[in-house]
Amino acid sequence: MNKRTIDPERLAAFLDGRLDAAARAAVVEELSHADPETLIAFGDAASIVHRSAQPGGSAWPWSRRSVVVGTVALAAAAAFVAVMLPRFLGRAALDQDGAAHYVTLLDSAALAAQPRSLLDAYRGAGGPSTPTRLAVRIGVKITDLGVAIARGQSTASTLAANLAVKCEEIPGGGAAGAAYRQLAEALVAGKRPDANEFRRAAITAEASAGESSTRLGAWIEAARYAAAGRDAAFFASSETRSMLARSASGEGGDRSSMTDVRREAARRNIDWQSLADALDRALKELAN
Amino acid sequence: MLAREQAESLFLENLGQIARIIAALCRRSGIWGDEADDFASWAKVRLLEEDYARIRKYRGESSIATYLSVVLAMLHREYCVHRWGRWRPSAAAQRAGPLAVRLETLVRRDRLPLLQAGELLRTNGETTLSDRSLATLLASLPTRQPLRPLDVGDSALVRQEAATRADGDVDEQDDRDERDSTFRLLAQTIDELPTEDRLAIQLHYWSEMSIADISRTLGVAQKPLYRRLHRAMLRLRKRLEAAGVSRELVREIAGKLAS
Repeated sequence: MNKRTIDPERLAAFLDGRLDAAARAAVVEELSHADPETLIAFGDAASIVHRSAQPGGSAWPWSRRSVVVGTVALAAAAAFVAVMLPRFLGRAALDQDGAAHYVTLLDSAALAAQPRSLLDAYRGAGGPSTPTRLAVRIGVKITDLGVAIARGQSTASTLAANLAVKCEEIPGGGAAGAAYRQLAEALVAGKRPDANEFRRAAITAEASAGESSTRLGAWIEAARYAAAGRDAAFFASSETRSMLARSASGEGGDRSSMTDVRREAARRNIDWQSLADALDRALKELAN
Repeated sequence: MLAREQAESLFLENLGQIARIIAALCRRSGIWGDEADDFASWAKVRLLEEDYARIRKYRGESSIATYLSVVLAMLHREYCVHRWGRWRPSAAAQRAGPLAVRLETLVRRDRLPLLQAGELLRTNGETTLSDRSLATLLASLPTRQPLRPLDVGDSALVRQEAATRADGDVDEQDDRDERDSTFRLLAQTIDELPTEDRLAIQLHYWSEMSIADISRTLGVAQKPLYRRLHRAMLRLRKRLEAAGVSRELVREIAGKLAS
């Protein structure tokens, strides 16, 4: 079996139709001698490229199958959309900012608020750290760092340095550790990091720590600030609805931890103290 | 090669696209929930490592979206083979939709009993179908024997494990010998085909691409491609029959290649 590696960009240019006849023939020749895994990968890439090129196209080949004909089916589709749409809407901005996104949703009162201190919750007081707990704690610190930067607090550099250490505990977390050390150095030098640097570090951290759990931690901490500052818009945002919907399916964290949070956040007139208590309990369970 | 800062900008600008590609790849291979998150994290770390080495190799000869699709598809295969070997959802399951892919993955790859798979799917909110309906769906999907690759020259071929037989060791050895020599002959015959026909058969067999998708990918008209592949299949069948391969085995191989 031929194990030659084909240049990915030549394959991409082939799929885009950007090669001349001779170059196309050369790629066909190479592919015809390629190993099965290369052929399968090529087929997968071709399928994604073709579907995204179709009219109204998306890389989601089954999106049309959720649209069905008939009264009952239309009602089912409407219910499906009502549940799923917030997840998709929140997703686009999140994919750009990662766990750094939630702090950007806080209003000025929330940014100035002070949630109850739960230091024990994420100093490992409860026992050994699992990867999920570590990821949640990293998410919490990402939000704390964002708030500290927004407030211009001198503690921001310490928070960034602590994040670097936490990230370096994870296999493959070296890049994230380096990103937060750079942030820490800039803060010590009195420079305020720009949004891109903050985003980049968060994206790098969640890539190695685990996206779901890191974002859950970041959201819970931002929600704690929002509850302390009575920021109703935060809990009405599509990002919050998306996070609560994902938590209902158990993604990224224990389903039961978030049950009270979902109930309190869904109230028409939020009882801020009850919501804050539910968030504190959830964070203690997930990070401890 | 791009500078690190340029590669980093491309990465950050295309995060949404990267997420969409990863989601599509996960759906194709039946990866879901925490497993999908694991793959997403793993893939992004691979893109970041060595100062965005994979992105720095981008030369602008293709669109960035297609380039990322190819790179991520290759990473995806690497991840799947490492985790689960060469298993992947059947083309029939992919055509039937995400529920079929998930069901096939749970029962055939992860070897969960159907009842347990059904319970898991309903608990996760992925379906409301009964166990009977799920059994009907599963029965409509092909049963594939575990595969083992056979290195024969340049053509990648797979020898299908023979079904267990009650006959003695000698018969089993004869069976294996016949299959081995048959697959060698098959590989040789495929190697003699025109390059495009050879690739079309391999894409149909390995990537389980439809003829329509293959014609679109290779930029050739669909009807002539059907005719060429039909002629290639006839040629393969005649070679096998001329070599004295049993009719049963010819049918089995031809059926697999033609499906």
